[in-house]
Amino acid sequence: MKIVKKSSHLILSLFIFIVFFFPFLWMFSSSLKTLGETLQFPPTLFPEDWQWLNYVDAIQSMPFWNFLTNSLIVTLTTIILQFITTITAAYAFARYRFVGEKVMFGLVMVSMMVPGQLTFLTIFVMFAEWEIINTLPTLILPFAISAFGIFMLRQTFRSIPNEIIEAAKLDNATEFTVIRKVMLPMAIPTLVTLGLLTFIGTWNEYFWPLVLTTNNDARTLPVGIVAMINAEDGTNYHTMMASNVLLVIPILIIYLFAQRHIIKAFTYSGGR
Amino acid sequence: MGSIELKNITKSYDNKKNVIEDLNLKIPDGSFTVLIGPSGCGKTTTLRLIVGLEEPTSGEVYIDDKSMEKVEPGDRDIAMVFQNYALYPTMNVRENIEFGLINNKVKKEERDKLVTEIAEIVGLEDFLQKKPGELSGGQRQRVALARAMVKKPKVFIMDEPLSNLDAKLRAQMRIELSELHQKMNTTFVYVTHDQTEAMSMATNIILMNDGAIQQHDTPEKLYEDPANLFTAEFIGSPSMNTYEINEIPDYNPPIPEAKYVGFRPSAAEVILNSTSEKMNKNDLIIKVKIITREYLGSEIIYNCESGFGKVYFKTFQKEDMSDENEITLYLPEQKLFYFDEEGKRVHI
Amino acid sequence: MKRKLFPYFLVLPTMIVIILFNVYPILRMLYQSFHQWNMINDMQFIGFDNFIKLASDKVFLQSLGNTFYFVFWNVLLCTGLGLLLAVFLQKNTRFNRFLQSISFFPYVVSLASVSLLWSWIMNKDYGLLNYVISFFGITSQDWLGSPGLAMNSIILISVWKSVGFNVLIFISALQRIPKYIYEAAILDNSGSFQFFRKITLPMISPTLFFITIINIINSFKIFETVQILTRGGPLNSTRTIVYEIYEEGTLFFNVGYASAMGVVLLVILAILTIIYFKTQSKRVQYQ
Repeated sequence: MKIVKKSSHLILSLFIFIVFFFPFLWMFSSSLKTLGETLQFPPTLFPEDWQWLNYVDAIQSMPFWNFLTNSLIVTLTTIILQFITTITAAYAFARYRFVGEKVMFGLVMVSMMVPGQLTFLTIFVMFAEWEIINTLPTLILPFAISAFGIFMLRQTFRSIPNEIIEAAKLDNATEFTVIRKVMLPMAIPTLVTLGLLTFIGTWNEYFWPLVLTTNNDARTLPVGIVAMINAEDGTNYHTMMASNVLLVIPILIIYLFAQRHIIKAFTYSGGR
Repeated sequence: MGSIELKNITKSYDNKKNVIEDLNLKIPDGSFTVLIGPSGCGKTTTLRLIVGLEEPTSGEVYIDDKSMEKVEPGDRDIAMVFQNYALYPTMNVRENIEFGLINNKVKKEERDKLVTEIAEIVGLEDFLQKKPGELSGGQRQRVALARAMVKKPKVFIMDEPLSNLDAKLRAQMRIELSELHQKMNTTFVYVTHDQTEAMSMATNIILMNDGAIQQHDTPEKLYEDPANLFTAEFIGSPSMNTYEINEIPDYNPPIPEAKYVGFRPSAAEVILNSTSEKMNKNDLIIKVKIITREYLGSEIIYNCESGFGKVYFKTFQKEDMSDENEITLYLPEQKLFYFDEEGKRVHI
Repeated sequence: MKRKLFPYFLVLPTMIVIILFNVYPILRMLYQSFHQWNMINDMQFIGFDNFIKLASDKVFLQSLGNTFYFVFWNVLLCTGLGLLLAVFLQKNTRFNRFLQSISFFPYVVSLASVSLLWSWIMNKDYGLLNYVISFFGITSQDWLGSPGLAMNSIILISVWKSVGFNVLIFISALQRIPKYIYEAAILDNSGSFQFFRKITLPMISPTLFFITIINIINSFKIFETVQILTRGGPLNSTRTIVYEIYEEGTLFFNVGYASAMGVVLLVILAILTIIYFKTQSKRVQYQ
C-alpha cells in the first residue's frame, strides 16, 4: 500500500515536472536545430548538430540591439521613477494627516484596478495629440507610479514604531535624515519586492508597447521580436525559438538567483 | 547643569479632556527623579513634554531656566531611553550609538573615542558589529543606554526602561542604573509604574494621579510621611490598610477632622491573649479572622477579614497562625495615619 | 505653512500620473463613446448610437461570448488545478519547493514568449503536441487553426501559464493553517478526503474566493495570446473584447465605437472590482 502511494506520488511529480519544464527545454533544443531538422516528424529530442549560429541569425534578422536598449531603458527608468514616486507618496500617506488624504489614497487604490486594456485607446489618442507616439516616454510615463507599491510601502512605513522615529529626532536627525537613514533601510525588503515585481512586469510587457507603437523605434524586445517573426511569416521556428530563448534568459537568470524573493513577492501581491 | 521646571502646564489632545492640568514642578539638577503613578496618570505625557516630543497646550517648560518653547527636541541636550529601546534595527550597535554624534557633526576620531569609552562602561565592546536583532533583551537595553549616554546630555530621560526585562535582570539593572547616576552626576528623570524601582533608585519621587502631582518627596518621606490617602495607599506593598473611622466599632478619632485611618501591614503587632488593654486611648485594637497565609521566606503576609473590611498584616514570626480562630492586632497611636474628608493627611 | 504643504508636494507626482493616465482616460473614454470619431474628422455627438449598434453587432457579441467562454474555463481550470496541485505540494519539503518553482516559472515568463513557444509546440505539421498525442492513438490536430479547437488551445496555454500562480497562493494559504489542527485530526482518525472537505476547504475558502475573483478580473483582459497566435481567427472564434477594441480602435481608428466597447468592459470590471473591495474589507475585519 505504501509503495503504491509512493510510486504514484513520484509519477505525478514527474508529470508536473515534464508539463511545466519540458516546453522550455524543447524551446532551447529547437533553437539549436537546423531548419530542416525542425521540420522533421517525428521530431528529434536533441539537435543532431548544435547550431549556435541560429542565435547570430536571430539577432541579425532584426534591430535586436535597438530593441534590447529600449527594453533596458524602459525597464530601468520605470523602476527608478516608481521608487521615487512610491517612496514619497507612501511616506506622505503613512506619516502625515492632511486634507484630501483619504480621497487621494482612494484614487491610488482605484488606479490599481484600472487596467491598461481600458485606458490604452484614449492614452494613444492623447499621445498622438502630443505627437510623441513611437517615443520611449509613452512606454514609461503611464507606469511612473505603482499603486500597489504605494499601498505596500505605506504599510511598511506605518509598521515602523513611532518610538524609533522619536529616538532619531532626539538624535538630532532632520526629517530627511530620518527617511534616508532610518526608514528606507527598514523598507529595503519591500523595495526589493517592488523592484522585482516591476522588473518582471515591465520586461515582459507586451500589450502596452504593442498598442502604443506603430514602428520599431520605441519597441521593446517582446513586441519587437514578435513583430519581426510575424513580418517574415513565422515559419523559421529555429530562429524564432532562438529569439525566444534570448527573451527568456534575463528572467531565467533573475529567477535562478532571486527565486525565493520572487515567489514571496508574488505571494504577497496576490495574497493580500 | 540640568534642572527642569514646568510652569502651569496644561495638556489636552484634540481639545478633549485635559490629560494634565496646571502642573507645576521642579526637578533639581543632579537628582534621580522618578515619576510614578498608575497607568493613565499623565506621567509619560509629562516626560514627553519635557523632551519636547509633545507640545504643551499652555504653560512652559524650562531647562536650566531657559524656556524650551522654540527649542527642538534634538537641541535640548536631553537623551532618552525608550520603553522598547527604539533601536535602529538596520544599524549595528556602533552605528546606533554613533547616529546622534554624526547628526551633531562630531569628528570621526572624537566619535570613535566616545563610542569605545561608552561601550566599555556598559560592557558592549564585543557586540559593536552586531545588529539589535542578534542581541538579547539585556544587551539591547545596554545599547539603548549607551546611545543615550554617548551624547553626554544634561538630562537623562527614561521611560519604563526595565519593563521588558525579566525579574532577575531588572534587579541587576536597578543597581547598575543607580551606580551610573552617581558616576555621571547628571539629572535622571525616570518614569515607571513599579514602586520597587522608584523606591530603590530615586532621590526624588513624584507621585502622580489624574494628571496632577500627589506628592513630590524623597522615597523615605513618601513612605513614612504620606501627604494624602492616595500616596499612602499607592506606596508600600502590600498597600496600607485604610478604613473609614466611623465603621470601626469602639474607636473614636483623636481629632474631629479625621475621617479615615490607616496603618501599614508591617505596623500591626499580633496579640494572642486577647484580653489586652489599650496603653493609650488612641491606640487601635482590632480582631480579625485569618483567610490566607502567604509565605515569602523572610516574612509572612496574612490576609484577614475584620468586621469592617480586609486587613493585611506582615510578620516575621514563622509559626503558623492560620489555625487560630481569631487573633487580635494591636496598633499603637504613632503607627496610625489620619486623613480628612478630601483624603488629606491630618496630624494630631 | 511650508510644513502644511509638504505632504501635497510628496504626493503630487503620483496624483499627476493617476489623473493623467487613469482618471482622465476613463472619463474621456466615456465621452468618446457618445461620439463618432475617427481621429481625422471632427468629433460628432451621436448619443447612444454606438451602444445601440453594439447590441446588434454580431462580431462584437461573438467576441463577448468568446470572452465569457474563456473566462469561465480559464478560471475554473486555473483555480481547480491550482488547488489540486497545491494540496499535492503543500508539504514544505525541498522536493516540493523545487516542483513549485518549476510550475511557477511560466508565470514569470513573458506572455509573448509563452505564445511563441506554444505556437511551435502546437504547430499542426511538425509540433511536439501532435507527436505526443500520437502515442495515445489520437490523430494530429490543427490546434490553433480550427474554429472548434482554437479557443480551447488558447485556454490550455493560458492555464499552463497561470496555474503556478494559483498554486503559489493556495500553498501559502494551506501552510498558514495551524499544525495543531492537522494533529488533532490525526488523533480524531479522520480520513484525508473528509479532512480536506471539512477542515482544509473551509479554512482556505477566503483565499479561494479571492483568487477566483482575481482570476476572473485578469481573464477578462485576455489579449496577448490571441493577438500573437490567432489574430482573433479562425472565423472570429478567438476574438475577445480587448482584441476587438484594439482592432477597432488602433487599426480601423473607429475611436468612438471602440470607446463604447471599452465602456462595456469597464462596467464588467467595475462590478467585479466592487465585489472584490467589498469582500476584502470584510476579510480585514475578520483578521
